[in-house]
Amino acid sequence: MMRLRTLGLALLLVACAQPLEKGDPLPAARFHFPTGVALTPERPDLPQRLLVVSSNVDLRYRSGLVHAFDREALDALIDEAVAACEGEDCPIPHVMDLAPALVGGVEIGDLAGEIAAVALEREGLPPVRAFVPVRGTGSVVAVDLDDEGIRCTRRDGRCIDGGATFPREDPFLVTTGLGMVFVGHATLFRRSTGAVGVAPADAPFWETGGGVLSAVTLGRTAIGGLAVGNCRTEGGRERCTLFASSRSAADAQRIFAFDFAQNAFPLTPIFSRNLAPAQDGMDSRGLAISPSRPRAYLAQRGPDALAIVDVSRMPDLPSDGCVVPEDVEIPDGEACPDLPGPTGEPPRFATVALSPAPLRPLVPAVIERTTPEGESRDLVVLATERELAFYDAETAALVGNVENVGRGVSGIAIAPRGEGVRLYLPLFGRSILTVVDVPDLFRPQTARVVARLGPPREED
Amino acid sequence: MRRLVPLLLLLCACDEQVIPPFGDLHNPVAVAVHVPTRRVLVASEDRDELRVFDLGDEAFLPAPAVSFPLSVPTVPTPRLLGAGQRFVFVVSAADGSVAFVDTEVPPGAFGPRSVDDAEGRPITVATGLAPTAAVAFTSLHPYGPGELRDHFLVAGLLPDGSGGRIVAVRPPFDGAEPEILSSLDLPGILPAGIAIEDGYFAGDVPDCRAVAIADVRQSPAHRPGVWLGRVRVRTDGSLALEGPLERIEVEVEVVLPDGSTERRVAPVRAVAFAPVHFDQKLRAAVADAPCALRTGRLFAVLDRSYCEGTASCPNFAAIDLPSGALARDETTGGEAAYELPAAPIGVLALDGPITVRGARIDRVDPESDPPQLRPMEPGPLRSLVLVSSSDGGITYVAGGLGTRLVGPGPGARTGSDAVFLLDDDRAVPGLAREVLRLDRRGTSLPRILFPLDARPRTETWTAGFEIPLPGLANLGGLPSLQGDVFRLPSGSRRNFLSPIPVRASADPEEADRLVPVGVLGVECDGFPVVAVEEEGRALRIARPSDFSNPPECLERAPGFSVLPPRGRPWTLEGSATGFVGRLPADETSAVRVGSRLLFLFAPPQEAVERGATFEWRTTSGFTFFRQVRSRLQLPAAMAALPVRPPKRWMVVVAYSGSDAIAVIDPTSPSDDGVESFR
Repeated sequence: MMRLRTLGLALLLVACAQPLEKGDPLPAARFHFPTGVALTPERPDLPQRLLVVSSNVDLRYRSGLVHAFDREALDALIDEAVAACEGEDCPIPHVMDLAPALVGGVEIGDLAGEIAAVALEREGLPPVRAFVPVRGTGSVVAVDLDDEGIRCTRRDGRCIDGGATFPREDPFLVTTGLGMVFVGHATLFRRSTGAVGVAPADAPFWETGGGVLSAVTLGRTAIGGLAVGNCRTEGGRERCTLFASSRSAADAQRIFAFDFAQNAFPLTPIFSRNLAPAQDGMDSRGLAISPSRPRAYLAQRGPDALAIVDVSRMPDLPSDGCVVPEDVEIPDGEACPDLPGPTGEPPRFATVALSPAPLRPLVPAVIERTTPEGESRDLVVLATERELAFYDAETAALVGNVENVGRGVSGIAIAPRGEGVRLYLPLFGRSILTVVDVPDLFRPQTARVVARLGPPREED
Repeated sequence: MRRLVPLLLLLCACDEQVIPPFGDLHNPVAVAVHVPTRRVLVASEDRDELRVFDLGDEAFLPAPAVSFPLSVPTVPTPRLLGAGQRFVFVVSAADGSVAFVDTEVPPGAFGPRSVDDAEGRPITVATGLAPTAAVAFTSLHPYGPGELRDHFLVAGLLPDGSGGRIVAVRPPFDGAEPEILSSLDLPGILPAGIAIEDGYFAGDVPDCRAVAIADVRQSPAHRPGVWLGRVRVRTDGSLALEGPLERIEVEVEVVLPDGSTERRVAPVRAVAFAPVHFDQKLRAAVADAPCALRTGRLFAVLDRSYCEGTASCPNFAAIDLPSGALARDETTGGEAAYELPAAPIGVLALDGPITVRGARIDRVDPESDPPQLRPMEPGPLRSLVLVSSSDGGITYVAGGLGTRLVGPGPGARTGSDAVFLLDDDRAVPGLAREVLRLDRRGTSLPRILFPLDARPRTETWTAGFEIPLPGLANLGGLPSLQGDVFRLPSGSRRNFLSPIPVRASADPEEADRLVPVGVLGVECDGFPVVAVEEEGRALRIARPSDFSNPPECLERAPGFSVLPPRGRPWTLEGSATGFVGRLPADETSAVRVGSRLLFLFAPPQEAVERGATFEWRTTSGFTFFRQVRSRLQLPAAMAALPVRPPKRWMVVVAYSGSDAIAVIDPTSPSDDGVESFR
């Protein structure tokens, strides 16, 4: 990430100093400094797509790109390559030509960030829309996916010119939930306050252009991770919580929580807490939320660790005390009489465990597992600078790792595969995808790199 | 920095000084102390190697190329370590295999060294587990030539997700392959920690010890806790892990947001046995009942997954054995279950007597009359328990020994001793800052009293005489009062139900009052509230004849506030506790959180004016006694070296977040007692 920022800054400075000569279009089947990956939601009316963002951070090509691949076709290419060699000593196959699985690509401008996809239900809209923050234009670009392929959501097709304006510099992170899009900015330079941008995924401005994301300010911080979880039904309405982690050195380990419903997002977080006093750390990165328990998993830096944080709710009372006559005692276990009622149920954000991680954790993700007794048990996968590490979330034990994924994993997309899962991992520097299979979720030590995808970037 | 080392070596060559190499640690996640050589093996996880630190020289062992530290290559991702008499055991988190390091090397060879096959690869034994915890021990009965007695217990998760298992591993020796000697299934149990009881040689009887397994599984279908099994080494050196497992349920009291309490069963993340106090009685007792519990106590790190919806819940407990009951805390007389700072990671129990310089405990001074608490030196501790935490700190607990086995017979034990937290505060529970009158209109002050059972929090308190209730000042002007109903202005965000509910009563002396304020030269008693209406947006008031409200009150009042009842004119609010209520003017009140007494409040004996405000600060009188160094982050593992004579300990902590180890003298937590090495 540091290299990315330094390179990007240098290139921007160069770009300011002389007229920019734009290169050729990036081939849709070639990655170039990929920064994001996502799978589209599974729907009956659209085969699942694997979306990869090429950031074009060195401006070598005309624009960055969202690549869309048919996931099944891509897996078929991988399977074919794997089957081409039998025996113990087979090298990891490298699939250079991804064209047979390619659905298409959309130019989105330069210095793009992550990508997130959401299913749209309203008539007249495509089944899936994906969103990419683009630092070069300070905006968030939307692309639509349907059975005909992938296209720019803007009616004029000019995604290369930018999308909805993001109100801070360096939009980079994105997630979705309940038909909403949330964007965070990764750096904090000239503007003094940080913010999360929010917009409905089906807002008309994604098609017409000219939109602006609403900003919820968060104080002097940038965002290290965004994740949606804790979805529930309250009063007949579905609600979820957006969690955002801080990258500020001053508020080193602050996590924010926003309760939201579809088309209803609060102006301020319902709660935030700086966990640094309990777990040190600063400049932490990604955040993932357990699908089955009130737990957040944070890729913590300095010390490098997987932080497991309790995000369960607790009634918020204006008082927990009372006054009674001097000689009156309240029986053990009883509360004070006449206590005021709760004013809400915010999370508390308490550290459950801090488990050492390999060098420079970057991206966490949760893999759901079901025990023979039918209980959910999270397996957390943590991408670090050099490897993938797997943690059993209950014991916080490191229970497996894969060292040869390559450096600079910039995202994790997870697809079920048999009894296990398949992970698609973009490698920023080499500009390829690494594919890791975890065939047995309770034996993560069985995880293996099964293929590398796409022609690697020529090293300068 | 490493590049400087050869240069420094060259510069120093003239006077033959040798600068030892830096450890060049990369993510040190585990340590093991090899007692016979006084050396520490450190797992450098990111480099798949071990480093060796000599506690005598306080330096890392050099490699043959002396500028660099000795590297002991081992299994990938070494995560857990244990040291026996001769072998050090290494567990790989990558595949669950166990490798071995031999501390005995030929004369002149560099070592310790990995036990490798002919091709130079570490000889390993597969556990088939996702390892979570491990402990090494040296049995009292040898199984091989040269008095080999080392064993290693590895706890881990089963590959079918159904629970856990412990396996006992024997290292390779004399041409024999390493092997798993015995295993013990833990169905439905998620073992996060493991501990083994100290051994004691009692002659020609099996070496039978308790093994404690921390079960972290939190599920409605399961009751977690600590499971006790046995490892038995017979006199011929054969080993067996034995059930049935005995479950110790760690049921502790949690505090809910309203100050009430309830009891919950806690999952356990790590365990340690209290040291065993050896004497002749114990020898006879063990000879008589080899599998009787010798230790009398267990220390458990509790996992906070059971804490949902609580204001506070313990994360550490001391448990008496064999009863399984919580030990007694000396200070409170209650259960020895504590909420230590941050998230505890590991626990290490050291045998006493140990005197910790600077540590205190608040005890009743027997010479004081009336009895008063005083901060006192606790004297030599029978055991010292160190708990490492996620914030980088290590908390000191006087752990005691529990009920020691004295025999004859397994049931003959001493009584239990108490546990207490060591205190780093010279204060006792009470006032940290005297009462101040903030409005400076008088000198009479309320008195704040602390009976011996008072347990105040460290917070700032404000008391007011006839001051508006929090958030209920300047509510609106005369137009808001229509007849006997006062309605909040339409744009007001106040509410009479929340956060502080207005108290309505038919008894005028017990009802909060709607009071006209700001009427110059006139004091209005106001109007008692008889009902809160319209979902908290309106108050219905009464107009009792004995409440003084001259006509100006309803003619010139710029606004209204809600004041406490005339019969309870004082209000009290703490910075941590919140608004606690309305207090009478003529009697002493107890301020409580549930059954916990914070202090007594005695109003001034002389009358004070409306609006008189006072402030003071209370202290709990307690600060955790801790070892904290900002440069040392994430204490991933701890181990200790006994040094005799004189009897003392050197504690080694691996700080994975700082790529360092620290050597700590536990009796001296000051800077002098801590040295770190990288």
